[in-house]
Amino acid sequence: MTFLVRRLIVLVSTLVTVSFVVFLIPYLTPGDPARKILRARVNDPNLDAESVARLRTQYGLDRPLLVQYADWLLHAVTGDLGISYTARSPIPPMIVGAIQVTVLLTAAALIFALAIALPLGSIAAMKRGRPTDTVITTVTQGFVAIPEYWMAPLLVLAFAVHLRVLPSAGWTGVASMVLPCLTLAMRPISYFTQVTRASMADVLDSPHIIGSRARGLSYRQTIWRHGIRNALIPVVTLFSVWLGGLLGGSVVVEVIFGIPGMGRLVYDAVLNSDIPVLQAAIMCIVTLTVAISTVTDVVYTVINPTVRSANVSS
Amino acid sequence: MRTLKLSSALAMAAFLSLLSACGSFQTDSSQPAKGGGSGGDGGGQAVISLQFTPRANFALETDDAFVLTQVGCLETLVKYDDATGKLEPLLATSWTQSKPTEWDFRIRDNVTFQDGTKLTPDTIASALERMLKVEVPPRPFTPDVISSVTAVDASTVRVTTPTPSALVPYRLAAVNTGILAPAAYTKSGVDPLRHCTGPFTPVSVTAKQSMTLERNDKYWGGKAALTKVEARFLPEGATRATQVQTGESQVALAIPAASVPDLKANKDVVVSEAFTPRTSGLYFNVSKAPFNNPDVRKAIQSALDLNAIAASIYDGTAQPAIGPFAPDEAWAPKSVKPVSADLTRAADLLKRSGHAPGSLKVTLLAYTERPEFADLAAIIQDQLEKIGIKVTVRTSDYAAIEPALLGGDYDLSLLSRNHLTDIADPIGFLTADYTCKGTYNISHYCDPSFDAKIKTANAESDAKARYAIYAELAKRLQDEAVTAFLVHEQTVAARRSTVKGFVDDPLARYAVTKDLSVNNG
Repeated sequence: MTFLVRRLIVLVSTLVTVSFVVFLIPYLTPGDPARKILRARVNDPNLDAESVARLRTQYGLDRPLLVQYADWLLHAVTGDLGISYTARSPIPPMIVGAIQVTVLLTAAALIFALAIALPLGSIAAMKRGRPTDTVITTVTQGFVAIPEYWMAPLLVLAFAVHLRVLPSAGWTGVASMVLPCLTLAMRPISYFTQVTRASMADVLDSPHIIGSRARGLSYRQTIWRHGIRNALIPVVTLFSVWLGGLLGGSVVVEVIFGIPGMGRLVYDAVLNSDIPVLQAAIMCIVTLTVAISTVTDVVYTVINPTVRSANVSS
Repeated sequence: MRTLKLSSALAMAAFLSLLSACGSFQTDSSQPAKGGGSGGDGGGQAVISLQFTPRANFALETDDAFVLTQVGCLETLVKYDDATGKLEPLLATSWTQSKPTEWDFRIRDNVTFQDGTKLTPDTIASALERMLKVEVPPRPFTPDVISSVTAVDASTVRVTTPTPSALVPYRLAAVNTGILAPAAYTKSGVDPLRHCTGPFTPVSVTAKQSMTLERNDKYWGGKAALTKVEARFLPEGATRATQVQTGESQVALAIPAASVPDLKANKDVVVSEAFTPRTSGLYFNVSKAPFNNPDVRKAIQSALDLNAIAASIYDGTAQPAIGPFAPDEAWAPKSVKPVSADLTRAADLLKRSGHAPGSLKVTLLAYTERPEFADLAAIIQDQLEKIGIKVTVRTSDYAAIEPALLGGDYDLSLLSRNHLTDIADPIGFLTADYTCKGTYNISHYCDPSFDAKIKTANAESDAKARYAIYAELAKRLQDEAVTAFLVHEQTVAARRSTVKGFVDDPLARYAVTKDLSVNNG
């Protein structure tokens, strides 16, 4: 219980600190927010001064910054994230719709990455120093070097333009998920494989594995009972880090594939100077990331009883 | 073996999560199949990839109005024909200036909205009056230029202006003045579904994704050729190009220059180019030295190799500029050629201005919202170096440089300007950018005789006479090198070869029209 309470306190204090920084971001960038809003609406730099002044007053942009922050925070904690400057509609439904898409996209990509990386990493560890290990390690390490903005067009070219088996863009069904998921999964596959290989190798070399074999367990039984279980711990940690990172970091993939997720929402909010949407989206991403981190810590203690014991004793 | 079972379980979990995801896809059942409708290019259905995504809940005072006209939904009282430079009837059949401050529009009498209500002068007056009262009225139709809109009788709408104006019909050709059924205007915003008068009825919208439209069989202008259209909102240019390449879309607008060679190499794709009303220029701050000296400006104008700029920076999708207006525009001066690069002349002009080679050091501003400006600034820097002008380039986002531009605290700046942002007439651009009290006069140019010409044009009801004035003013801007106009930008559209009747509108107002069809054969 103490562990959970401590984690919750850290979570809340982190969110309050971040909220102030997030609130300030639009004001730290050069330019008059009211002019930015209007410019985004009329798509032209020549702005009517009266309209700018009217917008400034209407959105309370002429109030002191701290007053604006307090007002924003009070509304935010009650779930009132405000009205989008461009869509002129409440923000929560926009966030909910976008986050559903991004969570689905990210989770699918990471589960796919795990499904590929766990066996690959395990095999590489079991075949250490052999050609199989070299091939797996080299190929998966190569994935890290390919950025998403390069991988996405490559996959589109292969599967949509030449083979014509998958749609090149959109969010219209399972088929439309495949290429964005593949794009997002490439780098996690690489990292998960390397981490699985390293942790599995450590486990295989540990005395209790040798002891298990000596007690008569088969090699496969030993791998499954002791190897995979222990090797999963760093992978689960890495999974949560990637999940948090991809929730806000899939902008490139979402824009290229025309996916209406959080990345696209943030991208559009920046382009349109839609400050309330930008603030709400970033806060949601941060909240989710911190929440995932907390859940990971809890899962970590479940997977590894020694960690749980350490937490209880501390 | 257990390892493999674990991976199989994970793969199954991934698969199941994908399947469960189906419910969260905002797909509508009417979506045409890949390739348009019936699995190919035919079927009387089409998919079109658009550059702009509706982002303001279809508020007509915003650019969302362009999307609604592009998909064949929204219609205005008057239509500006870019090819002829003339106004044509649309929801209004004729218009007359009954008094210097009053224009009467006779309304077409057989028009019904897609929800069955009849188009009347009252519904039009109500829609346009509403536009005058929105938070930020669209520039073509603000209370500054329009006083009121009233229904005079059963077939006439009267538009009153605060001062005499010859441009009211042009204002009513602006897409922001499109008319929707009364039921479209709700408390929560504008609902265009089944509330237009156009040849296509929007039946569903998937936010940030697409809009599905069906043929409006009761369209006043006759039935459209296509039976169903899906408009996809794809902000990424390369994605739009790929859509046409793969046949997923039959038409894609605003193709980026980098995608043009691949599309042109595809025999199933037709690429078309048209001038947009957008010109990029090197803006001088003429209010201070050294650019208050016309010889310095002309020296720079002569040092720039516009052909090289158009070919290298714009990959051939732009043409060297002859002034602020492209050669095929009705108000462009006739028989004018781009200024040729002439380093000898440039050096002579610079010498005449009293600047020795190497003595002139200036700063050039560029903004990141136009990605090509970084390369453009570098090439200008290189070309001016040849006549001994040292250029320092400063690049940031537009918001950061705007105060310097408006305040006159800069030397040179790159700028891309659309000269038809409000109405299909460049008077707004010329007034804002080059008159003494212009609201966007970043050149800080001031010539009372220029202003007098603008005043004359504003009161001139004869379009030809007005265009002649614009041509004269454009020539003056070019001859005096008030701005070194660089290139006229072009819009590139791509379509499958089976598409017929497509016209690439450089003003981005129309794409899906009554005559657009997809040929099965």
